[in-house]
Amino acid sequence: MKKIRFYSGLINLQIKWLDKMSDKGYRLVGTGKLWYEFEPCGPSEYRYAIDYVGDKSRTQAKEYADFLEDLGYRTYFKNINLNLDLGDLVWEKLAGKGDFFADRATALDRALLIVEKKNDGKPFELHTTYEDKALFYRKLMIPYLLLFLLFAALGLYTKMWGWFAAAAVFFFVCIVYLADYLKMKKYSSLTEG
Amino acid sequence: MRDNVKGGALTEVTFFILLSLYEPKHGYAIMQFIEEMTDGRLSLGAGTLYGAINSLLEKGWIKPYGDVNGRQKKYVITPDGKKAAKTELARLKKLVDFASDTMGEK
Repeated sequence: MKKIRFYSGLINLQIKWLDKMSDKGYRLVGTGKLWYEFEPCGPSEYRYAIDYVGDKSRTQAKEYADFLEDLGYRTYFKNINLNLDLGDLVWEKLAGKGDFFADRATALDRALLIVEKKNDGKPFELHTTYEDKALFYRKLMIPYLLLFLLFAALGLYTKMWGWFAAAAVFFFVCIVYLADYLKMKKYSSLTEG
Repeated sequence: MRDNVKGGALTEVTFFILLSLYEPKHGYAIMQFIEEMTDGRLSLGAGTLYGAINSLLEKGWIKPYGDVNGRQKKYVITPDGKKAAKTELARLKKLVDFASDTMGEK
């Protein structure tokens, strides 16, 4: 069964949705640019977590995925879902203009790593120290900040409101992750271990 | 994983990983070891463990063990890692002595 879902970035929503699918008896077996593929499983048999690997090279991301698979988890790469028609157009144009943008476009294409484990009743968390969580949100903020700046610049340049609307969405995501980052940073300075 | 550079104190996670690797272990066994040794109080996420392993490899405190190209990579503590663990043990002993004196529990 293929399901088409679009997430503009909020990872927690994606995790909740995948957990809910598992609760209904469907586990993830594949991903594409806009779709997630499921097959039947026992109700609530699996739990999901998502990590950001857009800052890693392809080899580093693969090494990390192998490490997780060695632990008995299943992993799926997923694009960060910025492929709005608008976004696609921009990235494709920019990708032709040099390695930097081509690398960024490829990185965003496989920026998320969905991790699945058997549900053992415990919460499934990949990052368990506040310091580590803060780093996770900080890294996650960067692509959205870049996109916000890019779209805002396009809006200013073309004077078209559509670009600003997209920029506003990315700005919102950026603020959400910034708040998470600051919260974790505060916890890490207040608590030990 | 940030250990205290100036004071030389290790984080609890770093110290436990070093202790777990006096015998070669793969990632899953390290997680289990830490959970067992702390009666489940310290449950290490896979992402956090991966970051900690890479940072310890970089410091030269642990190294890959056995078939490095095979799946289920194992790691083991190095002489430098043992030195760091010994320093930490001495620091903790001193701390416990001081705490016992201060709190009158000797």
